[in-house]
Amino acid sequence: MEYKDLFLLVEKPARYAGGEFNLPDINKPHKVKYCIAFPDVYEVGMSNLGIQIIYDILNKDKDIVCERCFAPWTDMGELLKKYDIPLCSIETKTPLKDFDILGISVQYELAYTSILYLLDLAKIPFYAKDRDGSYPLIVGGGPCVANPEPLADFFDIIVIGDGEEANLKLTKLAAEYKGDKQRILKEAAKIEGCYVPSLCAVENGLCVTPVKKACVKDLDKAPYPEKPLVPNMEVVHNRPVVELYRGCYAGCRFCQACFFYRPIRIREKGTVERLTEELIKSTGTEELGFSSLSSGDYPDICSVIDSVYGLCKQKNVKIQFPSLRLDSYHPALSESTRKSGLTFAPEAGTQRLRDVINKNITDEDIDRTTRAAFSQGYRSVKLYFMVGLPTETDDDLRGIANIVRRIKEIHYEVHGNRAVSISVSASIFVPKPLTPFQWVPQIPFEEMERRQQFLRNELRKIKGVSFHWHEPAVSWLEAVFARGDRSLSKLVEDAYLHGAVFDGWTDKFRFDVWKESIERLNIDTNKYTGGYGLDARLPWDFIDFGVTKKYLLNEYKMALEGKVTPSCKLGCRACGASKYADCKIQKNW
Amino acid sequence: MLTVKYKKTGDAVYISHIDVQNIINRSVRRAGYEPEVSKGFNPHTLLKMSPPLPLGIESVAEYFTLYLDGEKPERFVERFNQNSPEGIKAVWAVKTDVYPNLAREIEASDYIIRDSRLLGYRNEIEERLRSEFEISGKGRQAEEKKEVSALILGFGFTEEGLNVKLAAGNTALRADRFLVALGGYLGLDLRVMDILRTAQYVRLGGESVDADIYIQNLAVNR
Repeated sequence: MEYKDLFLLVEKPARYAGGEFNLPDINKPHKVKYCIAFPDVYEVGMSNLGIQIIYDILNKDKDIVCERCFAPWTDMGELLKKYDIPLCSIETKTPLKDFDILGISVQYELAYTSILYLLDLAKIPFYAKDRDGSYPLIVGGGPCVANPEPLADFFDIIVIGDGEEANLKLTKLAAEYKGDKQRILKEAAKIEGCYVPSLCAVENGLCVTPVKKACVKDLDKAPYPEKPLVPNMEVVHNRPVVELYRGCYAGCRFCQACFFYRPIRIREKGTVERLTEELIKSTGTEELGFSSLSSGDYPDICSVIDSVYGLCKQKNVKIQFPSLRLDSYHPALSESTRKSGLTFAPEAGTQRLRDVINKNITDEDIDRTTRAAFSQGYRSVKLYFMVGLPTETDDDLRGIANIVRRIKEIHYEVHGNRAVSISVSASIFVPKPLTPFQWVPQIPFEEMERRQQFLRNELRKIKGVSFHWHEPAVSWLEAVFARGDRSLSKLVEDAYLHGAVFDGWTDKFRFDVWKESIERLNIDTNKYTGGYGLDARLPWDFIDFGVTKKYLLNEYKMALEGKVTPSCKLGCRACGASKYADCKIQKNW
Repeated sequence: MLTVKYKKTGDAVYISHIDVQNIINRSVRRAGYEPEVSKGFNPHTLLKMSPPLPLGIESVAEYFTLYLDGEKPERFVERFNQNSPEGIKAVWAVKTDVYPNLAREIEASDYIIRDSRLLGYRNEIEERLRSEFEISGKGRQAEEKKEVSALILGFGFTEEGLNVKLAAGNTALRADRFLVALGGYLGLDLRVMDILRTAQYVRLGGESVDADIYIQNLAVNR
């Protein structure tokens, strides 16, 4: 039995077959081979912009060949084990362990066991200390390594921050010192953004060697995949994406991405227009995403839409805005998009709590925006909220129901008795590192369940509203790892060995396995979910993200006082991020 | 209207029918064409396909029709092939005024099972294909056996292996199921990937006619 012989025995074999349009020259002569891996299935991984960016940059280099691998679904995983076949890359079906570098993108905490799943199927030892130079260098990256510590024992190198330049430099090093793992690690530690856990000093289980994050200084000139791979099967986001800018002006206090990706760097209008044209041409897409943390905040977004509108209309391409803030919504933004439904995230039900989390939108914003959207023909609204935010009371939960009632009234005013679909989705707040809430405790498990039930009861009183919620156990586990330290690597390993994998998939999440592992290893999870003292040394304190701890602390204090910090658009808040690159705070809005 | 014959070969055999449809649509768009779209809420390209090919089977005789005017068929083939992924390539195209509804009309297909071991079982195969032939399939309750000899419309041998003509359309015999049953009878582990569909047939004036001829007869020269 060979690797390819398994394809017809599993669901969706196109996940493993490759052969997508826009494939680079994988067979060119090269000095070093990189495999970029993603700890989730093809459909999820191929929707990730970071993967396409790194793949593009590395393959454009004359000395590097980069292939891909996604976590095989459990049916394929079982067959690989049954027939003792190692996990292979998509492009040339080369076993992962035959690459020089295996780069794994970590998107969120519940993918940790799937990282071990990849290594296990590839027959690569989990721990960096157990791998000599005959194995590929295992490199981590992605947004979830803002706190890399729970994974520090598994990776040889972790790229913290923007992956573009650091991955390229790292791969060139691997070519230069091929076979000499120690030398590569030593040199890699000098690259900005490269954290080499084995070379760092550790005190009381915490890394104390300073590491700077990687930062692309000029995003406008940074390489971008103009000819991205076009998947041969339906994927989660089946559309090419133009990244408008990196970083965020808003400063919501719960949001890690906002602070992680600062300073704000922008792709110029001309570049966005050129990329739009190029991507439509090179992919043949019917949908294009304008992506960033808050696309509506892109300077002069309406003028960009205006200039690409003609082309999109001619080519029958719809533009999608995956993340719109309520206060940045403009009818022009949705004129060229598919009117299937509008998604907004007020996050909290009352103005008081929105001030605490610095979600600078008002009830008027919500009313104005939904009225404009309904007038444009939208008939369904999806609203995202968080439950368990710091200082939250039952009144704030009632506020969620009040918002829904108001939206229904506005719909009635615009469309009369016609049906409206309102969907409320409430997740449990998970305090994240590198946010002003990095010190706060997560609400206890029982309280999560109580508040969910409370909200469910409140919403039940309103006709025609659907309510979706996150499993408390999942949010709780996410919170454990989000602020975890190095000692948690053995928990990831133990849970994986006892059957935990694809934890982010509701039907695969096995809380019983996690509970047993935690008990077996005698881990006090309260240490991570219970919050940290304001003067405590935090596991991720050794990383210089630009944004200072002092700034985060001040933001936290302001949160408790219910004071807001206005958008960076109205002036610099001196968060510290601009030390890495020129922060594009636009003055003329 | 443009009807195109295309091949699905190599690793493209793992792509499902619905995904092939999307791939063709995107390839056509990449080639710079703007075929007619539906008039619904979310307009999509009007693209008609010949019946689905089971996963794993290669084919050199698949067809699609687009509502596209004003392009020379040869030029379309060239541009399509520059813009389609490996394994999905056009062979020829013709302009037609009438829509050849292949999804409805096709009644049989030719296949080659490219496994030279089969030549060593010539007598057993001939005997088997001339008598009863049972395949297993999912019934309402459990696995069911079904006698399908009436759906095996012809066979022969070449240097490559076994040629077989199987019924398609409403009462079809899937080549992959035929292969599994044949392998069972012979005690051979036959591979679906060794099946190649070489032609498809439609019923025309009481006769079974190669879809190529049927489409070429509808062709108009403008």
